[in-house]
Amino acid sequence: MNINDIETLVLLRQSGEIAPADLARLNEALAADPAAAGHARRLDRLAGLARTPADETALPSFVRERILHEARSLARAGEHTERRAHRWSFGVRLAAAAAVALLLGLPVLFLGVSKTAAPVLVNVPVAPAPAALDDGLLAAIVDDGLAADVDALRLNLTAGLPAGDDLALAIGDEDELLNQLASSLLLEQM
Amino acid sequence: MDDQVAKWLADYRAGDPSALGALVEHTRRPLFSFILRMMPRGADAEDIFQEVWFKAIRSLDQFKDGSFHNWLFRITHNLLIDRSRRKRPETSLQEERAENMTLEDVLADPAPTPVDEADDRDLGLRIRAAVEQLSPEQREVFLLRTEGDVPFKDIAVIQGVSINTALGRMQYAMHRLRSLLETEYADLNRCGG
Repeated sequence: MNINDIETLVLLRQSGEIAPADLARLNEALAADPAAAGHARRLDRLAGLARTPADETALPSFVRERILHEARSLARAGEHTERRAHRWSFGVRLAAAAAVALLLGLPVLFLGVSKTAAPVLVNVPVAPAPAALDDGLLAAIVDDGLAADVDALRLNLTAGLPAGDDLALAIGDEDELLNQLASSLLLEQM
Repeated sequence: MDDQVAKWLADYRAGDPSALGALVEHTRRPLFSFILRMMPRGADAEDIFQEVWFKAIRSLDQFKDGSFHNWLFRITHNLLIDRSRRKRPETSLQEERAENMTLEDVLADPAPTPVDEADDRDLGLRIRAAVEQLSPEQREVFLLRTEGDVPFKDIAVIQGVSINTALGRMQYAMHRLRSLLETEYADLNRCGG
């Protein structure tokens, strides 16, 4: 075994990565060659002496405190993000319902109610026939608190509304997302 | 992953801040000594150690399995690369060291003295000064092994090279140190160990 191979195996032995068969070969080579054995000992000693003494690796306490402070700040920011994510999920649910309606070929109805229950109005290019309004979708909209009940909702949407009439959209204070979604989806429909 | 480290990680993720403190202390010696030896100034080493932990805390959800210790060294490697791109390395033979000795003073001793077991610390200082003469890649491999106790297979991942290249860099580093230290290296054998 040449000296390079011996060095390689010594390094792998130091790191704990030497295979058992290679360790046996190395031990055999070192036993047979005192010069190689001396070289291996120097390599081991060099690695040991090169290590910085423990008393030179002390860390000022303020560094540790800053790290812990950063962790606490991140934890607080994470809680705030979680609360905001819950609000957004409401809009995401409504967007999913509207996307399903589009796929089913229904006119997209966007309804929003203000927190003071102002009239709910929607911008629709064509007034749908009563039979075309999906009960399930209307029910889902009522369930989400966007309208009082299904019948009133259907009546409002269909009775006395000329086709193509534009209606105002009332937006609640948490519904800026709904406004944006309404605009984009209605534009798609047109 | 070490069982204790895994427990501290789990406790920290569950909201126990003291577990983070334990993790920081557990990795302090290998990580800080590695950074200290990679950088020419101790003040920067503290900042880098802090920054490594900031990055680790922010990206902890990306750490799933494997050695947490080696993951930290990977973050450290990337951080040191970023810093080196922003400023030139400043190691020179005339750079004053904390002991008010220049590197040249430490290395260019015209009268080599016999190694004395009681002077291991002095010899260690000479070795550490010689390590600063290594190329950045060789120095990093050498320090990841001797200070960080990182296996070669993980050093290869950290440096983005094959394990044979990592081993080769370590061998070149050892050869260079032997040539720099000469008499001291020859006497290592007589000191035993």
